[in-house]
Amino acid sequence: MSPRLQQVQGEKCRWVMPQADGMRVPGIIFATEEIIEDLGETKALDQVKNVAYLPGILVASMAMPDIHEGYGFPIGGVAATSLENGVIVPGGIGYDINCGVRLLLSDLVRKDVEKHIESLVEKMFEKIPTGVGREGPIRLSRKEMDEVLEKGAAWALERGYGWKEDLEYSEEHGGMKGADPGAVSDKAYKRGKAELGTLGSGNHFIEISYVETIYEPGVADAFGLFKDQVVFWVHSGSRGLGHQVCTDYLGVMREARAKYGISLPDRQLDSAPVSSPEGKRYFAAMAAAANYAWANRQVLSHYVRQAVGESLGKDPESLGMRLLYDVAHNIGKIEEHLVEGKKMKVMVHRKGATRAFGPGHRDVPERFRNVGQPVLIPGDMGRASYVLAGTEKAMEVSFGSACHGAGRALSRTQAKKTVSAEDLKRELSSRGVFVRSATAKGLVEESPWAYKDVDEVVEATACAGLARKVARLRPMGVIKG
Amino acid sequence: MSGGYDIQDHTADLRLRVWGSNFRETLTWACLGMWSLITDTETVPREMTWEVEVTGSDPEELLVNFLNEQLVLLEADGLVAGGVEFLNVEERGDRYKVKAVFSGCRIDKLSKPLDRQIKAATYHRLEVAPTGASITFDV
Repeated sequence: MSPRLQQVQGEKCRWVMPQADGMRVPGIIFATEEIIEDLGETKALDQVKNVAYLPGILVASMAMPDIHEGYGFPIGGVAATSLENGVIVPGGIGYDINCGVRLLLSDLVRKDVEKHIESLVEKMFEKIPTGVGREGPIRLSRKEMDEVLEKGAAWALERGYGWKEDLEYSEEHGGMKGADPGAVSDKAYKRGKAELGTLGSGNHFIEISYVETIYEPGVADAFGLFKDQVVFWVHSGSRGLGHQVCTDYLGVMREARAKYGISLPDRQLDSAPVSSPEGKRYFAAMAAAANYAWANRQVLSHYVRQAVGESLGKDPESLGMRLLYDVAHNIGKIEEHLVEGKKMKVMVHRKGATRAFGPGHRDVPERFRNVGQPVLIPGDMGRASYVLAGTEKAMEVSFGSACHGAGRALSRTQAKKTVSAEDLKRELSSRGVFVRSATAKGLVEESPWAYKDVDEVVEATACAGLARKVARLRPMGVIKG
Repeated sequence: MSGGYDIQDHTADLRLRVWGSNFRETLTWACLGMWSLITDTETVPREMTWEVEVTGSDPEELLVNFLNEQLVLLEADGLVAGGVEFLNVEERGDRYKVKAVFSGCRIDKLSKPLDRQIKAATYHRLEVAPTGASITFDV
């Protein structure tokens, strides 16, 4: 265990890294003792420390239980900064702006789908452009792109990709205010013009799962989850457009850092005051990229509904394929939080962390406002995923944030050494999971054994009080980029 | 040309180490190393060439901008590089400039899909010296 960390008294799953050197606040890691031991003296801890140097950072530099080494922020990093004297950090949001997940429900049960799983996965693979360089059927002119960047998922709805109520069940209603297409470069536009409605590669996926275990029947009921129910995950982000926005603004921040005299230990943390012209422009561009990502997941959901409908010969509406929720796990948000007993608006950076607003929060849809926001946690493709619910404690201790996934345990090169694509497919198939992937390399790099056990991460999240366990889901079919 | 590259372990992403006998070679190997992460460069038909020109205020920024510009050309124009035909670096005060000519093809001319997408070359743990560099890619 790192000598830099101390367990917080009376808190089994909270660890503090006391202020040292140039840290303006302490570091806090939410994790079990096992996770902390496994972490050891990792670079992710240096990153928790570096983030604590940010001007105007409030309370602590935080990390969720799925903490691992990122770039700038650790993955699993959360930091809130003051709107008056704090900074906004592109490296605290990441290249894949508004990478996130959504979960579509259905009235189908496991046995309805089990026997069709291969043809269903093949149908989805055929419908959804997957992998690198695969263009989607949508081509956006610059004018249309500007509309996507302003409206987000609402744009997709106007074009017939989705159902009216989808918007209500999405963080920010699928579109962030304050987006300015004019702050998005021509390069970013060019990277994104043919990628709307494409999955991408890396860890992005579409997954068909069934509900294996219900932990809290009351909450599950409010969410519309029941045992053996078949559900559909969509995990993707803002594609090349978002990556370019981050790249472009790291250049801007580099100059801003010098201009505003901001000194930080890592160049990937280059930032500008939230209230500066550079900071405001980045926020407007970031919001635009976030909206692209919401439009993207909306179009992908449409393809999923179509594929299921066509495959089973039914109308998707008659199958009850409504959206449970859509969460962003790489994003910057201006939110109201209690800081040292005072309500204030702050700039929350979540890099590989999910918003987890508790019961009663006005940003939680009415349908489940009294139980808390659905927190969607995809695991790996072989084991499990979870639906959790946000808590009041998360509002008090983590700026309303929880974990975002299992977190990688092995590097991509290590993963490739452990298993071949053929063996992996066979092993998954013996576990009842049918997989289709654009490339064999992409598949083995995302092998379940390259990830930490999501059960442990979720246990730690629940133990720290950041979210409550509602349901555990098991994979049946996966499409990988 | 002497030098080379290898891939190092990084849990979430990919880290590339390159070396050469001067900065020109280091930049060249950085390009070849990055493309080897994207595809098997040996199989890319060299049926066209294109020029890339990029500036930076220091060697780090130059390298990051240079690699990222190639990613833009891949995603925006479908240009897949199989080799570097020419590369020249200039240093003028605090302005560095690299000019290079790549050979390769458009993405639709490839016989198999690309292996992976690189989101960006990052500044994370970036090390750049005239005779070598280490770069972390977000993938």
